[in-house]
Amino acid sequence: MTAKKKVSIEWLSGCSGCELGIVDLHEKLLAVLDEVELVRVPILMDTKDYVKADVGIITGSIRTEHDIHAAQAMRKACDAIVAFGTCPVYGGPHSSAYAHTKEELLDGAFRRNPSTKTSEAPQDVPRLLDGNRPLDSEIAVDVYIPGCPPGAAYIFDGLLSLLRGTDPRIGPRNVCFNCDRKMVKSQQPALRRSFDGSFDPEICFLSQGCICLGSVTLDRCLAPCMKAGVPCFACGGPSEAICLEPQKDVRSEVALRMAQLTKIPAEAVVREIEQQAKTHFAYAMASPVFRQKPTFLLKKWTRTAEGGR
Amino acid sequence: MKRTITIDPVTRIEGHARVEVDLDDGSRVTRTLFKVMDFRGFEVFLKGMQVESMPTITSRICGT
Ligand code: SF4
Ligand code: SF4
Ligand code: SF4
Repeated sequence: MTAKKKVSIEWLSGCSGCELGIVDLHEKLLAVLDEVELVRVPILMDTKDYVKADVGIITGSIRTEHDIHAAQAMRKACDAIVAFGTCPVYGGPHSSAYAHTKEELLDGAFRRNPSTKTSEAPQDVPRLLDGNRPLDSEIAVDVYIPGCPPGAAYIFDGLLSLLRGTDPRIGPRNVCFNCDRKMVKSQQPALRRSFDGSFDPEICFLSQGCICLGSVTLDRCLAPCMKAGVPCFACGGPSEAICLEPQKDVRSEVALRMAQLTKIPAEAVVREIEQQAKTHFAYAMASPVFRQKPTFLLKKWTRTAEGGR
Repeated sequence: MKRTITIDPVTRIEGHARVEVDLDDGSRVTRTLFKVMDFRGFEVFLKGMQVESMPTITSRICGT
């Protein structure tokens, strides 16, 4: 038997949902553990050092000075670095802090928070950086596995192919590919929110007038949300087309599709997504992917919607 | 002898923390601090988001 590969995990600014995502492999985890030795896993082990490893898995984004040091230490200690989850790949849910300054965040949480007694931000903690950033703003990344967290099937496929040096089977499909709802033409005249009345569980949310981001989101989850009656909110980050094609952006792609399926004019959908940019771009707002297209105005849209702060 | 025991980082918890325990000459604990080392700003950036996104995004505060 060949020597087991050493795997080291470090978390930056995230929620640990990605670590739980690994545990979601259930008994498949045993198959992975046949091939790897875990040398550092903060949620499970007390190893505090950045020990040498073949593969370094990093969850969470770059948000504090500590995150920079930790990312650099991991890069030095590991042969390959995996950006694991939407946080290190695109910034993650706290990407929406892009709409705010660092001072606004500290004011709201500490200095002027009506529900606490603190009047100053904590001292003696790692310095908060001006913005929230993806991992590759700081170190070179070898493998990207977005998803919030990535689904077990994708983790398994990604990790095993990395360990064995084979090509992963994962393709660049969007969420709609694994959604069972049918896109049908309808007479729906206006946009609806997901709490407005009842929705047919067999029919695509877009056909029913409700914004669903499945068609512009990379599938790293097997599309669970629509089965639970929730439209896709793009926690897995933008689809390959959005990432690679400069002329395509989230709002116009969704608007086009919705206008083809319903009686809702594309402009109305574009306007809604812009006005609710904070909701619809929440998980990847910090990513440079959106800076190279008309969505570079994201900060302006969110500020206008919130009364021009 | 007065001293401080520092545990940094605290492992096997969710998130980043440091614990500092101050001891006096008789090794009695005089003060214990639990410091939370990370901050993402949910208190602020959630404002202005649509209410139906709250169950899904607030679950990302800890552990999805
Ligand atoms: S990607 Fe999602 S699940 Fe993973 S740490 Fe970030 S917020 Fe949590
Ligand atoms: S847009 Fe949403 S509901 Fe429609 S097929 Fe795609 S994922 Fe399913
Ligand atoms: S919100 Fe979309 S990308 Fe995220 S888990 Fe649900 S279906 Fe997948």
